[in-house]
Amino acid sequence: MASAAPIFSQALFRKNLQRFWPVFASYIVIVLLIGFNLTYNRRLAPEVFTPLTPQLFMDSVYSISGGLALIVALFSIVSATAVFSYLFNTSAAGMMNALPYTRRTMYFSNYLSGLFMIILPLLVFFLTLTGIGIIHNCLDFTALLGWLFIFASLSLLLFSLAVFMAMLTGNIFAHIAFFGIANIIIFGLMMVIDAFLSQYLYGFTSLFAHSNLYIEALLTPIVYTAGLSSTYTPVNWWVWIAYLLAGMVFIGAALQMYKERKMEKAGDIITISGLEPIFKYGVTICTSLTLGEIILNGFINPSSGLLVSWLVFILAGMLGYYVAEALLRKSFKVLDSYKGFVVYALIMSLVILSAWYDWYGYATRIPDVNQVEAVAFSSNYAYYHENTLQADRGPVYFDSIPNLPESLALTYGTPISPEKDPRSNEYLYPAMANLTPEETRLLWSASPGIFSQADSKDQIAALHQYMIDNIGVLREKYRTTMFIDDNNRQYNITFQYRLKNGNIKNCRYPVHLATNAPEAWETQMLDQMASIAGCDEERQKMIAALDMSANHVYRIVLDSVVSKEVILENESAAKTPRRYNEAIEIHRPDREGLLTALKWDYRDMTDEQILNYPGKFIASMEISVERPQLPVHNKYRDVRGYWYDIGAYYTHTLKFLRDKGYIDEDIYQYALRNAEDKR
Amino acid sequence: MIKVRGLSKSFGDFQALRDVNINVPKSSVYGIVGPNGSGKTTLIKNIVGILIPDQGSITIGDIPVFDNPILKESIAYIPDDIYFFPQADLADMISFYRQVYPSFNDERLQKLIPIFPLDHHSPLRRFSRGMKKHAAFMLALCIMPRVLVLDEPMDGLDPVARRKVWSLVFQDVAERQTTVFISSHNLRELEDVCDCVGIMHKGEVVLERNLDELQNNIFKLQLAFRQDVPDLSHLTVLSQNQVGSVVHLVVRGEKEQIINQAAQLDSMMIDVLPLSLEEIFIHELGGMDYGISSTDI
Repeated sequence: MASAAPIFSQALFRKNLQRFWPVFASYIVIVLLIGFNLTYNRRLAPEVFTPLTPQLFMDSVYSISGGLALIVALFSIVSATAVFSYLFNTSAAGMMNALPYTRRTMYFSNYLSGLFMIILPLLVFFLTLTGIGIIHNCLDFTALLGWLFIFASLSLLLFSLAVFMAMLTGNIFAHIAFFGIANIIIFGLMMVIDAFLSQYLYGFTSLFAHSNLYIEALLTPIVYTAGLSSTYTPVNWWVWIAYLLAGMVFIGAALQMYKERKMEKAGDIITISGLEPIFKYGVTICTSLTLGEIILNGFINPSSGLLVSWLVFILAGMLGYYVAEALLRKSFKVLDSYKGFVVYALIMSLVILSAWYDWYGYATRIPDVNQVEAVAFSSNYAYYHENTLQADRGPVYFDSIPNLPESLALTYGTPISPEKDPRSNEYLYPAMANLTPEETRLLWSASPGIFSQADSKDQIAALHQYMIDNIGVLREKYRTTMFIDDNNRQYNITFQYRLKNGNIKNCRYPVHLATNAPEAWETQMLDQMASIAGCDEERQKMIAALDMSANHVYRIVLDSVVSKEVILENESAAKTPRRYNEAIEIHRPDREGLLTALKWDYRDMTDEQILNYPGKFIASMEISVERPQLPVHNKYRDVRGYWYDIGAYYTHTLKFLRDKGYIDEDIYQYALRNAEDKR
Repeated sequence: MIKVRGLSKSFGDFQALRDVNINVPKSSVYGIVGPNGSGKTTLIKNIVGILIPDQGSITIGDIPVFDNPILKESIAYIPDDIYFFPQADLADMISFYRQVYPSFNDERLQKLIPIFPLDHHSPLRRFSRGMKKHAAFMLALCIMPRVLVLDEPMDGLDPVARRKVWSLVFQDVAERQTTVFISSHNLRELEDVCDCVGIMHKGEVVLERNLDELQNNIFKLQLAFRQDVPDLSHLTVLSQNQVGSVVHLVVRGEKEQIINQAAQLDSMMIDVLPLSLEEIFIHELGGMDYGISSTDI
């Protein structure tokens, strides 16, 4: 009998629109204001982008993806809370459920009215953009329809998620909170777990270490949508279809939950009894990790040792546990429920102890060197090369490599078509992704910081093994010398192994090594690190990057030269060194000599100097190069600038600059003194 | 008309209803009474299909109520805590009910407007409790219900308004054979209007009777003795109180039988009086740890 009842009630639908019209009215106003600002007013200014092409128009529309995704999320929860608000109030739940409707009719009538309230503004926005496109002759209707599909999918997904959350709770504040948490849970959990493990697990590689957070972003639709910042971002339509399907799943799940909902739960934090433990322990864990980290970093020295930090995490967890219990019971009389917390505290203590003492050997894992194809090594935590190491498996970016091999420049720099794209009025180039194995190896051979030669890999593996052999000493010193002083320097030693099966294995160790009177193991480590930093493979890459004809150098500019203030501050010198407020261009006749001096520096610097040069900064240098040997329209043919830091150990370069009058004697002397300073 | 069979309902660990069985005849006025927390409102919310029973069945005219829109179109429910849409005025609610209930009767609305003189364009949230009850009755009666379910319906109404409302309800019962199910604390009022009464205690219906039958089965008996009070064990005595030589008893049984049994006691005076519903309520529950009669303040 119930199934024969209508699925939808016009009366409820109309009543919701009548009651909650300010929701969709304000949504329309906000969306139009943003849209007009970005796509209409700004573009109409004659000094900006004239004429307005379909590409520029769609770029403008996509440029607000991040903000629009947040607005969709905001109005999804507002609409869902509005149309299902009666579920949060006992009297209202009674009145509405006494009406002559099946629960299915109630659900769909409210659901559709809420969905209408967030889809209508989107359609209004779409029609407005269509109008602007027609008026300014820049309409790409297919692309705009694609945009509409993307945001309609997102709206359906987020609104359905918000409705699903309404079925889990009978409390309006919990509803809003649950929806917010659901939207950030992946990155939120990653952040708190990352912070927690960084606190306890020595050698822990951040969960964010790998640069490709695609899956994480995919599971966080707002973040994924924000990534669509222009028409250049490839759109994977299957993702949006999947979002649409996920929205449908939420619709079905929420309907089932509504049919079985106990209306007497209005006002309760959790409406499904089986979920109460998940809520309670979820709040406990999240409070423990989040509040614990805040207290440790904000009020207590984070290096205060195992006992204090353990106590902070346990107390923060206790607070979360009893707050959750009080919310569930709607009473402060919760102290009798201590048993659950005791169990939690025991488990948490075991986790903390196991991480602190590394019971599982996390810090001592090392791949078989025979299985390693290449390894990215850094002693200063500066580089992450995962995309380059896996260039054969996904997208990669290599435009910033100065000595990009010519075959790669030809393959990926030659336009797909000799004709420009009519939409953008620009050439289209092959995507930098999924390189062949040969291309991948070629790319490694030109990328500083990536080692693929056998000798280099052996050196790196030997250092890694030495560190593992001395892991207890490394860990103890790191934990007991958290404040870096003149006697210690921190190195963040990072190994990224590309294995033959294509996988990546990351290892990272923060270490404190003495600068004065190091112990034997410290000396040994420094020597090994230096020999890797200055190994032949790395020097060859640095020199090859400068191996160019001076005729192809468009310009060399010296910039950010260390200033008078720095020198005075460091040496209290009575002299008045020259200040370089502006960039200094190197004259054409001097370019060849400067390039040669730089190459000599890379050849003559000691391994130790290469290891330490980032800390001895003197100036920056931009070398702008053109590659006329490449075909016309190749994107690497035109001038490209590459930046180099000049450190105190660049003696040939600094002498050349001094001799040619680009820097003063006092700057040069300052550099020499710095170079002698071993700290 | 309304049949509840084996109804049980729990809220977490709290058992609100326990194997409730009631039978409400068609076009009768059925009163459900019981102390606070006995489960009256929970029972009502199950009857009108708001709550899902844990066990048992609720039928009206042998048709299950829950999730049955056809049946619910003929049920009007006025809760104790009346809810209207927060921004709505009476005109809005009338318009809403007109769209929701196909049986909404505008002719009747016109007749009720002078009886309930309310401002149709003032927000209902500004109405007093009594005015909200007026509005709720107006809406409920306009849908021409076959079943009228009222939870503490007269709370907040002045005596004149009560008389008006009862008059309208009786008119429906008489003319349209409407069945009325009422919960109330005002036993005096129920006594005047109900045909049947159910008494609830701790989630159970401990007694369900026709009101006449109920009142003819329990009496107040006054006896006076010259000497000591004789053995009264052959009477079903629910309570006993003595002032001087006069003994006041509450006795269960047929009136004639009680008089005959009392006559054998050599009493100087025999006086048999009927009990009010309130007195019956107190004495019926007195034996269930609901000790009102001997409470000292």
